[in-house]
Amino acid sequence: MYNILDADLSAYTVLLADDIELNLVMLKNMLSKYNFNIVTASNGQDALDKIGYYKPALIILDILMPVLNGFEVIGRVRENPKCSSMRVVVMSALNTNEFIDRAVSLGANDFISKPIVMKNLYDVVSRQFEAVLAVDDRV
Amino acid sequence: MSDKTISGLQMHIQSLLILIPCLAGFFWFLAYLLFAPRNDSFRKARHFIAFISLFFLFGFLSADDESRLLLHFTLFEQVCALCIIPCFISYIKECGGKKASGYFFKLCCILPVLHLIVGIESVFSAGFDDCLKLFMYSGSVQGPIFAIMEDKSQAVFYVCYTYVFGAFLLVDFMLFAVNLVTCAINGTCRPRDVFGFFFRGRRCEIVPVQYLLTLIILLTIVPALLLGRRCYVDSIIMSFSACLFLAFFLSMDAFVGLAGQQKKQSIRGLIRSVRFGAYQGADAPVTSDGPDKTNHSDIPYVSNPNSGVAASMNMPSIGISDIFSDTPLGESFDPEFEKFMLEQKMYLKRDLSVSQAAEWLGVERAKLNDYMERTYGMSFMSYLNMLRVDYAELYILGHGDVTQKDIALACGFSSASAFNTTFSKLTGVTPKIWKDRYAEMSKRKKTV
Repeated sequence: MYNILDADLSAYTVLLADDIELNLVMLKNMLSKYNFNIVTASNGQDALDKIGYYKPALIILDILMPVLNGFEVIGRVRENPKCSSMRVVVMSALNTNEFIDRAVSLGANDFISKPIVMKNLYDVVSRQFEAVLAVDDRV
Repeated sequence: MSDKTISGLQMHIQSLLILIPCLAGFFWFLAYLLFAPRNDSFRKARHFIAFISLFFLFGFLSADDESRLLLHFTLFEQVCALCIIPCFISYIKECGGKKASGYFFKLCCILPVLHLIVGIESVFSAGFDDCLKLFMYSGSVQGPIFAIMEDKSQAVFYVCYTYVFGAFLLVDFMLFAVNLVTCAINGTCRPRDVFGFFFRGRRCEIVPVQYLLTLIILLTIVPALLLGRRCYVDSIIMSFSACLFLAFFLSMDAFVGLAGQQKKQSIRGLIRSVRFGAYQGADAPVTSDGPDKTNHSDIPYVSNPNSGVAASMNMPSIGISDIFSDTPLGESFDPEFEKFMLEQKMYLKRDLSVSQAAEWLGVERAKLNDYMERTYGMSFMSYLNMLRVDYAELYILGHGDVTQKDIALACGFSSASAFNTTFSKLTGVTPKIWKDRYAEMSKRKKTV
């Protein structure tokens, strides 16, 4: 079990995707306590482009995004074998079982309900990075 | 004028009754100006009270002549009438801006103006010799002592006017009494609970000073009506007695404000901390105005998130040591802020301002702003708009054919235009385009 607050995560990148810039600002601010790199995307296509370029260890994305929605992004990510190790977390105000099940069935690893509660966010990020670190020997 | 001569003993009592509250009010006013926190919502009311006290002091200093004393006493009322207006405007803005300025508030603002107009008219309609006497009549506090008025028709007019004004104040007083009883039943005693009422589904506040003025009116009118034309001196003394009461409130308010400033905390923070401390480990009473209402239409009714329900949710307590601390709000404040904003859905409260939020949370506005910048990287209002737009997206999805106005009101925006502007600014598209996009997305969802 790793304490990710103490771990050196500077080699890792986290992608945040949301069409509302303020959400991204808030998330970036909240996650600034971790020392991983943060990249943001403002829509689904932008997120896919940056996933291909930055190879993030963790993707936190909104469902309701223009161009490509969150479901479509998850589908594309999981179709690509190079992205199989990436952890995907969906965040949405659509926290019905139907949406969560759908996200999980497409390959999402976790779900954060909007509006975002800090503790939930930290729990999810810690959980996902523990999974990342457990299979990665970079730390 | 012989029956109006103030005897030596009466004058002595009157002097004390005036001097003590005046000096108390004056020095507390000075202390307040020097030390009181700027964000105190009672600020303007305190200015108003202090202003009254200064006029009383001025009147007292020129009390060598009875007429001059009365003239000053009456003049102060005219100035008070003017002072009430900014007080009301301030409170109207604070409790909801245009939406809160219903007919009741307009009436509140118009009456003092009428008061002044009548006073001015009385001067011009009378001869110079009667000016002082008419001044007495134009001051509504002394209105009921119409028996010494020579012109009965004028007296009837002024009395009618006085009673209209008095009735208006009486309504305030009754509201105040009802609130006190309600608070006693609910086990709450915050100023916001006492000095508030609901108007058109929105919680509003009345200038607290108005209640004190009501007391003055009541204390003056009763003996005046009972004693008739000889009540002249008695009613004035009663008024001064009421002022003692007023000055007491001023002193208490200024004292708490002063203490709050010394500890960098507002009056509400102190009261709140005491209340929270009292609720720790106890079975907190659940009030009828509980904030945990999921129906968006009820959100504007949310009264006091820190009263019963919030306390029963085991909301983290801010202890006295925290309140007295000069350090910025830390991580321990996170859960409380999130419960306030997210669990209680305060972001759906229309016209919620950073000042209101700071008051509800019992922290200073500057501290809250600092906390928002450090924790969320944005201002309180930006965070509020973000939450509202997030909620609006969900609302649009969940409700098919609703107007923009319905969405706006449901999501905490004051108007459709405000919603449209904010939504477009944050998402980059108008709500209509967003809705169309969702319709398109929902079709494509099936293919994913």
